Amino acid sequence: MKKPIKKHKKLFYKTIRRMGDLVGLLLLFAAVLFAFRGFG
Amino acid sequence: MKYSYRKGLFWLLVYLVLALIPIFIAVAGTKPEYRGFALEAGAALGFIGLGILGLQFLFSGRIQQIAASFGMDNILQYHREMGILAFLFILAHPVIIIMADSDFLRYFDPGENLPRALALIFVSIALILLTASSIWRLKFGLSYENWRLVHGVLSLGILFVGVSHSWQVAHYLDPLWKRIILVGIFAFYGYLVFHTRLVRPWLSSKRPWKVTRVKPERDDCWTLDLEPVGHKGMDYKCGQFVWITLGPSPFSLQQHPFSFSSACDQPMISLTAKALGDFTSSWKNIKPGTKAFLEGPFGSFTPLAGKNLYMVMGGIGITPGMSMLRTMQKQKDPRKAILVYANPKWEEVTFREELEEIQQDIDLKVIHLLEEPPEGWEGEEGLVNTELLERNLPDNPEDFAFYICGPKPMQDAAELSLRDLGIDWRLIYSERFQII
Repeated sequence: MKKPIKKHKKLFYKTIRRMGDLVGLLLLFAAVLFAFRGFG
Repeated sequence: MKYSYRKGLFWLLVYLVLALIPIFIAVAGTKPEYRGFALEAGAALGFIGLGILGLQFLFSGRIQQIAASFGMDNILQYHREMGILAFLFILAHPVIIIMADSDFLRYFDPGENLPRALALIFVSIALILLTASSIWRLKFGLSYENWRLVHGVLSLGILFVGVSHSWQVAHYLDPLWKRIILVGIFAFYGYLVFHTRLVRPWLSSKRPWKVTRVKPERDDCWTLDLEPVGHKGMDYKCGQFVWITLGPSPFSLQQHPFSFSSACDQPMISLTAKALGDFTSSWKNIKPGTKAFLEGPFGSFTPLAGKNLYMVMGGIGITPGMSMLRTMQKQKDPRKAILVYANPKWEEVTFREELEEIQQDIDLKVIHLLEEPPEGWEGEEGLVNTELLERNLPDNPEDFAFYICGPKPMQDAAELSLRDLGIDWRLIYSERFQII
C-alpha cells in the first residue's frame, strides 16, 4: 500500500478535475458571451 | 444512494445557474453604457468569480443534503477545484480591466481612496493566502485546526470585500434594488459559515455524548464507544461518518470526521481511528466519562439495497466496512459480502479476530492481502491490482455494489482496476479521508 502502482493514474482526482475544467470553461464562455454583447 | 448521469447533469446546471447569479443581477433592468469587450469581460470575470466564491460556502461539504448527493470526498475535491477557479477569475478581473484601461489602477491608490485601496490590497493578498494555504497546508506546517480558522476568516473577509466592492463601484448594480438582492444572497452564503461554526455546535451542545470505553485495537488503532446523554442518539446508516469534538464545549476548532465502526441500529456508537495525527494519538489517553459532541451523520458510502457487497479496504479504511458487516451480522442479512482487506503485516490486521467471528454468522468471504506476509503465508500478497481483484471477483458481479476505502494509492488502484474489469462506475463507491 505504501508504493503506488505506476500504471494506475488517479481516476478520482482526474474525474473531479475534468468536471472543474468543464464548469470553468462554461463559465468563461458565459463571461465572453456577456462581454461580446455588452451590458448596454 | 445511487449515482447517475442525470443527477450529475442536474447538479452541473444548478451550479452554473447559481454561479451566474451576480451576472444575471447585473444584466437585469437598467443597463449601463457598453465600454468595449475587454472592460466588459474583466467585469464579467469579477462577477462570476464572486458567484463561485459565494457557492464555495454552499459546496463546502458541511451541508448534509448536498454532501449526501455525491459524498463528502467528492464535494470537498470539487470545492478545491472551484476554489482555484474562483482565484483565477477574481485575479483576472483587475488584471484585464487595468490592461484595458490603466486609469483603473487608481482603485489601488491609497491617496485617492484609502479604505478602497486597503480593501482591494487585502483581498488580493487574502485570496493568494487562502488558495496557497489550502493547497499546501502541510507544507506550510499549518495544523488542521489553525488552517480551519484561517480558511473561515479569510474567506468571509474576501466575500465581504467582494460584495462591498460591487456595491461601491455600482456600475452594473444601479438602481439600489440590484445591490440589495446581491447583498441578500451573499449574506445568506456568509450566514452558512456562522451556521456551521456557531449554530450547529450550539445545537449539538443540546445533545451531548459521553465516552464509555476506550478500546485498543490492532495496529495502534483505538475505538471510542459513546453513548447519548439525555437523548435517544443518532439515526445513521452504516458507512456514514460524524464530526466529533471531544471535551467540555462543542465550540472548538478541534473537530474531526470519523466513520462509524458500530452497527447502525443501536443508540451506542463506536468510532475507530488509527493513532496517526495529534488528535487521534490522544485517544488512548481519553478517560471514560469524557464529554463529546457529534455533528452528522454525513456521507453517501452506504450499502445499496438489494445488492451484495464487494469491499476493497485497506488498513483503518476498514471502519465503514466494519459498520456494514456488524450491521449485517446483527440483522442476519442474507446478502453475500466479499472483503478484500489489504494490510502491511498480519499482526496489523485490525478487527482480524472479529471478522472471523462474523464469517461464522453471515455469508462473508474475507481475502486478506498482505504486503509483507509472514513465512509460510498461503494467502494473497502484494498490492491491490487488477489481477487480484479479477481473481476474487464473483461470477455474478452485476449483483454486487463495490465499496472502496483505504490509503490513497490503494483507492486509486482499486477504482481504476474495477473500471477496467467492466464494473459500472455507478456501482463503485469510494470514500477518501485524506482530503483536507
